[in-house]
Amino acid sequence: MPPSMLDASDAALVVAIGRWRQEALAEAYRRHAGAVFGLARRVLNDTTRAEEIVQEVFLRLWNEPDRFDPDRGSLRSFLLAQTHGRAVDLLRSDTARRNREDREGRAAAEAGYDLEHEVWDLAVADRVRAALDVLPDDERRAIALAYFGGHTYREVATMLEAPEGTVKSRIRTGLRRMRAALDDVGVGS
Amino acid sequence: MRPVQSGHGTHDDIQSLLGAYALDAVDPDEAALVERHLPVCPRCRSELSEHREVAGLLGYAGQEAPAGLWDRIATSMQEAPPELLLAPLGADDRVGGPADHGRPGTVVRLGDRLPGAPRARANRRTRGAATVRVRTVAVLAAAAAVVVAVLGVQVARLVHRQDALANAVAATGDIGPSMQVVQAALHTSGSRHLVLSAMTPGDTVQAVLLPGGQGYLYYAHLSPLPSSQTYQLWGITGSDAVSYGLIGTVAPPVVAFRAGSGVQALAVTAEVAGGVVRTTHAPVAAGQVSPPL
Repeated sequence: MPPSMLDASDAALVVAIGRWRQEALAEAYRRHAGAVFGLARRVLNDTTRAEEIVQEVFLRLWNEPDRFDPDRGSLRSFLLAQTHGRAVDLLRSDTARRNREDREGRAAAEAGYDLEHEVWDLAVADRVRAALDVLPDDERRAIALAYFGGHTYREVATMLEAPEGTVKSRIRTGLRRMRAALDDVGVGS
Repeated sequence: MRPVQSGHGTHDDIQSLLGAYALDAVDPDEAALVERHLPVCPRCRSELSEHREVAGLLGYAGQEAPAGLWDRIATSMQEAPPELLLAPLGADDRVGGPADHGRPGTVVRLGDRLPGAPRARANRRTRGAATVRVRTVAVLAAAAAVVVAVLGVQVARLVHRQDALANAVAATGDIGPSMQVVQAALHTSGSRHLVLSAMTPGDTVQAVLLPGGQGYLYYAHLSPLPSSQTYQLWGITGSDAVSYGLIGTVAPPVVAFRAGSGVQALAVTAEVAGGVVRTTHAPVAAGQVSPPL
C-alpha cells in the first residue's frame, strides 16, 4: 500500500478510485468495510447476505465513485446509507423473514429496546451513548425499530401503538437531538 | 393500504419525513416525494445529511469485515474485462445488445448485476462519460482493425459488437441509472409514470417512460430469486411481448431499458437464468402505459 493512500482523506481516496486506483478502493475498504458489514449483519441477521452487501457497496463505489458527493457528508455515512437501504430492501422483499422480524421487533419493543447495547464503536461509544442518554425512551425506541429493525415509521407506529405522525416526529426529533448532543461533545461532524 | 399521494407535498410535509427517510423508514411514494424535493431544497439536503451522519454513528458496530472478503471483491473486479461488462450484452453472441432492441427474439441484460458481475467500467461517469465513451469506442475500433488486418474474418461480428457497445454506452453512459435520472424523467413533459401491480403482497415496481422510449424501473422491491432464475422485463404491444432485458435475481435500485414505440404495458416475469425469448409465465408485476408510447 503506497503511504499516500494511508494518509489520504476519504475524499482523496474517492478521487483516486475515479482514476482506477485499486489500492485506493482497498484503503477505503480497510477503513469502512467493518462498519458496512456490521450494519448489514445487524439489520439482516444473516452473515452471508451481509457479505454480499459489502461486495455490492464497494463494487458500486468502484464503478460509480461520482455518486459520492463530499459536500453531502462523509464517505462512511454515504456507504452506510447505501448499506442500510440495500439491507432494508432485502428485508422487505422477504415476506417470511419479515414476519419473523415483526414478531421479534414487537417483542423487543415490548421488552424495552436497549439501543445503547447496539452501539459499541470503541472510539466514540461513550459519546454516542451520552447522546443517546438525552433521548426520551419513546424516541430511542422508534429510531431503533426503524433503523435496526428495518421497519417503516408506519409499522413502528403499529408496533408501538402510537399515531403515525407522532412516530415520524419522534424519529426526526430524536435524530436532531442526538446530533446536537454529539456536536456538543465534538463527534458527528 | 394508504392512498398514494398526488406527488406534491408542502415543504413542511416533506421536511417532517426527513428523519424517517434517512433511516429508510418511509413508503416508496413518500421516498419519491422526498427525492423530488431534495434537488431543489438545500435546507432539506443539509438536514438529511445530518440525519445520515447520526445514523452512521448508530450503525457502526465496531467490527471487522470477514477475512477473505476483500479478495473476493478484488477478484470480481478483475474477473470480467471491460468489454464484457460494458454493454448490456451477455457473454455469447446469441444475446442481443440495445441495437437489437425491440426485435422479438432477443434477450438483453439490464442494469448492474451485483456481486461477481460489476457494471462496466466504461459506464462510469467519472471524469466525463464522453471521454470514456470516445476512448472505449476507439479501443474497440482499433481491435476491429487488427482483426481485419490479421485475420480478415469475424469483422461483421466485431462491428456488430462495436455498434452494440457504442449504443450501450450512449444509452447508459450519460444517464447512469440513479434516482436523480429517474427524478428528471418524472419531471419530463410527456413522460409516463407506471406503478406496476405486483402479484406478491409487499412487492412493488415503478417505472417511468420518456416519450423517446428510454425507460427506468425503480423502487423494484421484488422477492429475491434463486440463482437459477432471473427477472425479465417485457414490453407488451397488442398480443406481442417483446423482451426488454434481464433484471437479475434481485432488482437494482434503478434499471434502465429502452421501450419500443406503441408499447401498451410493461410486465416483469420470473424466468430461468439467461432469460427466455418468449415467456409462458404469468407476470409477477404488470402495469399499463397510458397513453401508449
